[in-house]
Amino acid sequence: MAHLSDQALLRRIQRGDREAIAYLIERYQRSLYNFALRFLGDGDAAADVVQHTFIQLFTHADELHGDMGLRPWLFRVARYRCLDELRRDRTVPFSQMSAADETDGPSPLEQVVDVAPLPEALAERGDLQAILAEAIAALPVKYREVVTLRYVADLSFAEIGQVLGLPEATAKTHFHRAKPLLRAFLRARGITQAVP
Amino acid sequence: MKPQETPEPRDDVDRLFARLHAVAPPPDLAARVMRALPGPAPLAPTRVVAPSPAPRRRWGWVTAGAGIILLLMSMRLGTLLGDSGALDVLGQIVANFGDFLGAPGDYLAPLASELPWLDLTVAVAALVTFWLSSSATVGGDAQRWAAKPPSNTTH
Repeated sequence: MAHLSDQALLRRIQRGDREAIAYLIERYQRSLYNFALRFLGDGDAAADVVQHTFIQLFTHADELHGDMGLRPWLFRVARYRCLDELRRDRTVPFSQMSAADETDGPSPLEQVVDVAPLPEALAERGDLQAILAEAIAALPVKYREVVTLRYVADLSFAEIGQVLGLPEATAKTHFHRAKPLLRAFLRARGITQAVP
Repeated sequence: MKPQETPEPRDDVDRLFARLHAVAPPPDLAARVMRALPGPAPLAPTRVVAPSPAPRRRWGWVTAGAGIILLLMSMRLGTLLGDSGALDVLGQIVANFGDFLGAPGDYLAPLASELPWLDLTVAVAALVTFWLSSSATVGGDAQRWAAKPPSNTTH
């Protein structure tokens, strides 16, 4: 059954086949877990998000239709759960979580950050993984989610748009506005040598 | 499936974040999710995988050995039954089945005295061993194969 497509497995789930969901769990748990982990910065909370996402899939499988692929649907559910987790922890002001209005233009933070490219050579550092995770975690939520979906979950901009309920172009705009923030963070943390 | 999109040129930030490692989820996460699903208890998850070869090989050797013993004992029993006259008694039972039903002791007593009991016991033991070991090789292993969950995949 492992060779079956998402849609074929979904049809089996809609018929109540628990074995089919086991295969989807194996197929997506890693990317969902990493998405939630980078979004929330907490492994236990990320595991809870994954669990919640698959329970939602199992209980709402009948509501899934062809207008959205399974993968964006899973990440959409996971993203909502992550936002709930953030609200519960009160680590982020609620107002910061609302979707950005594209007519607002760049935020003041974006206007002051250094947008120059990092130096040609970026360091191979032992703590690089931690710094990259911190850079994502330091982003405002609306940018963090698009960066995480792109860099961690490896979604296309079209899929990211589906996950976030935004046009593809808007998802891409969010992503490109996040980059100067990431670059500035990394520069501030002393990433100064090369990425080949 | 990931939709096709025009690849954008990778910049310094893209290249750096391409180095961000994926973190393995907790090893029990899949089982935990399955347990948390509503409804009846989950079936054993679920992929049929190849059994480890050692048990199958061991049962295969037992089956082969029992089969050889069974073959040899069958040939020996045939000879012994013919030589001892037991086959003649069996032939009379078949030919005079009505008499046999009327007085079975008249036939069974000489048959019992003529049967090579030791050889017969060995043959029956070989037959039972052959049946059990072949069942373990084919049917018993199939149950064990089904219990292993799917392995992790990376996305």
